Amino acid sequence: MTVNDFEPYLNTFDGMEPFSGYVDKGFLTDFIGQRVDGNFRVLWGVDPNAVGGDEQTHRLPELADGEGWFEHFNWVAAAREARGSYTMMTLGSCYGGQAVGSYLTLQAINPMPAMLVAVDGVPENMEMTRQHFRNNGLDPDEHWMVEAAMSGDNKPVLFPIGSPGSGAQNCVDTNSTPARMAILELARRNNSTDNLAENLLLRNATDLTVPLVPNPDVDWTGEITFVSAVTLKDLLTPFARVDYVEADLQESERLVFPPAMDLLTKKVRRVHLGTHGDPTHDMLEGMFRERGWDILFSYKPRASYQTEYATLDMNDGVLTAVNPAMAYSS
Amino acid sequence: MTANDLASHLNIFDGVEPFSGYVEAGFTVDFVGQRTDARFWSTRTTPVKEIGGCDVQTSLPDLSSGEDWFEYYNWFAAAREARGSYVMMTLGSCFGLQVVGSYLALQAENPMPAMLVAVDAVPENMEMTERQFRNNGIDPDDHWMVEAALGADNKPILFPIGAPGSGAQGCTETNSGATRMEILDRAVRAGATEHLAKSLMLRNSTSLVIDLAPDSAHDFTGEITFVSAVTLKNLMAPFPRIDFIEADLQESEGLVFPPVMDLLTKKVRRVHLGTHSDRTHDKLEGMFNERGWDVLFSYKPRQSYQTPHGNFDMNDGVLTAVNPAVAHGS
Repeated sequence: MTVNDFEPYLNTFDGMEPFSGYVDKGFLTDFIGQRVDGNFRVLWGVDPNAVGGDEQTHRLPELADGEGWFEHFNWVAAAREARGSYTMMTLGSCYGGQAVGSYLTLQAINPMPAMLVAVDGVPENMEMTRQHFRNNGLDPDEHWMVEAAMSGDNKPVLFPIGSPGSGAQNCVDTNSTPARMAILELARRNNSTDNLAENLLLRNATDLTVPLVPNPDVDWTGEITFVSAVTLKDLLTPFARVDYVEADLQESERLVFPPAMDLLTKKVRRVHLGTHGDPTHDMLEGMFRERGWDILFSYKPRASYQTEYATLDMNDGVLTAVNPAMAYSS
Repeated sequence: MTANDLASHLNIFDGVEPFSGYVEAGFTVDFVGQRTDARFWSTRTTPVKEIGGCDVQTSLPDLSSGEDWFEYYNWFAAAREARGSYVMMTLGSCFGLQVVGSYLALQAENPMPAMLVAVDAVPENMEMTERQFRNNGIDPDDHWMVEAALGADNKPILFPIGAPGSGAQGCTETNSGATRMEILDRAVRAGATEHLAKSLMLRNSTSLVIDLAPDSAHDFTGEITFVSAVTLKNLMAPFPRIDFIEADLQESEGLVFPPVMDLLTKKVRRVHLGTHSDRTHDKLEGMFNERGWDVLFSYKPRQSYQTPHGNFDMNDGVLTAVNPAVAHGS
């Protein structure tokens, strides 16, 4: 299979009717009719008082949308392939947009019972995910909501808690041994090891707030805090089959996926990763290939790509892989 | 239904043939043929080299064995009720005796596919559980092994890590606000806050080792360490029905069960709890009764009981409840 061959997939959205209708005040929508509380998008510049309360007509996704097209493609492709029941996981749920979008797409084109699994280390993100489910007619208690950071093992991780809705948190930097040493050294230099010990013991937190992105114009911060960790193996084990795993883990994908590659190959039909570093992108693509997965799309992060159909400006990279071993026979 | 109507249940083992046969050197065996590495028995007094390596004739459980009889009873009662597939959880797995015993009882009485869920925060206990699975012909990778403490929420927990195989660990004391304050105060008084901060930052641990069984002759100690937390809601979410939950949580049952009583009532057929205080025992029994569960057995901890069918001494209490709302139609 040729990677990044769009030709077979350009008709993915054929026959779908993009959402058109009244949108409640304070809400955004997308082409599938997913209602998004404007408050969830404030960090991205949305003024909740200035959105919704009017009739809106969307268009179908276009390749020039970049990352969004690949996400929407996978919603539709995963939904069309499903048989009988559907299990979808979103790792780094943020407010649950990927899970709910996948669910609404499934119900629109191939309706069936579904189990959604949403995982995020930020408590406010999981609260928003639950609210987002309710805002779109889903009962979160019927699905699996996991407030934990994704990691390579179950040891608690130091994770930046803050800026809910930004989707910018990971534990690669904050949980590393050098980062832990640096926090301790900082406390020593500031004569604040008493404060560090007190905060760790009484609040599970370091009292150290860090910027989440290198851009000084973006005020996204998080307090480095112990959070529980869950592995991809933990999530996959209860299920005989998982139709679709979507992950946007801000580089934690390099900790989370390698230990679970064989189990992924045994159970999962489709993976769509946002990637955040070229070495990790290459490593994971290689691991999927070694196990016989078909790589549909592979674009590394932070680059522009000229294709026959559109120019793609990518912030996160995209890696979409499907597993022939888990294909349904037609 | 009358609680503690033992006469109605004494025939539970009728027709069961207790294990008889050769047992390899270094192993013990129970009446369902469960092989246990003798090194797993933390209170063992017989040298390992003197255990096994001979033919063994076991006998059926007798009420005089107290707690054990109630555990074995539930292995068989749960197995006989199962239909089509079987899900069993052991919370506070220790080395997996309950979960493997339940599985072997199922395969002996009513064979069918099973999903076993074993949860324990002590890494060595989970390693032993995996070996107990393998030693009894079960592939642990086909089941759900969760290295975490059971909590009321997902915040990391200060848990005593040590004394694997003892089953003596609980987090009600070590994770309480009072204990956290006490650990901090002790470090402040000793001028050791920098050491405490370093240990927490670099090892997730307080470096404080406590006696887990101060009222016994056993040398069971644990180092108070941050571990990931999982809720019972997290564990139940992926499953539409759970046949049997067994829990021995050293009083953490008072934290873990109350928040999920409604979900338990929706999904779970049978619960068998080891209880560790009269107050928690009464509270949980009341919660099961309020929701329409039948309490089959209720014996509080640390008492001797005289019954027309035999006398027994209880260390842990036992609370066995079955849920009519999740009974299979006959």
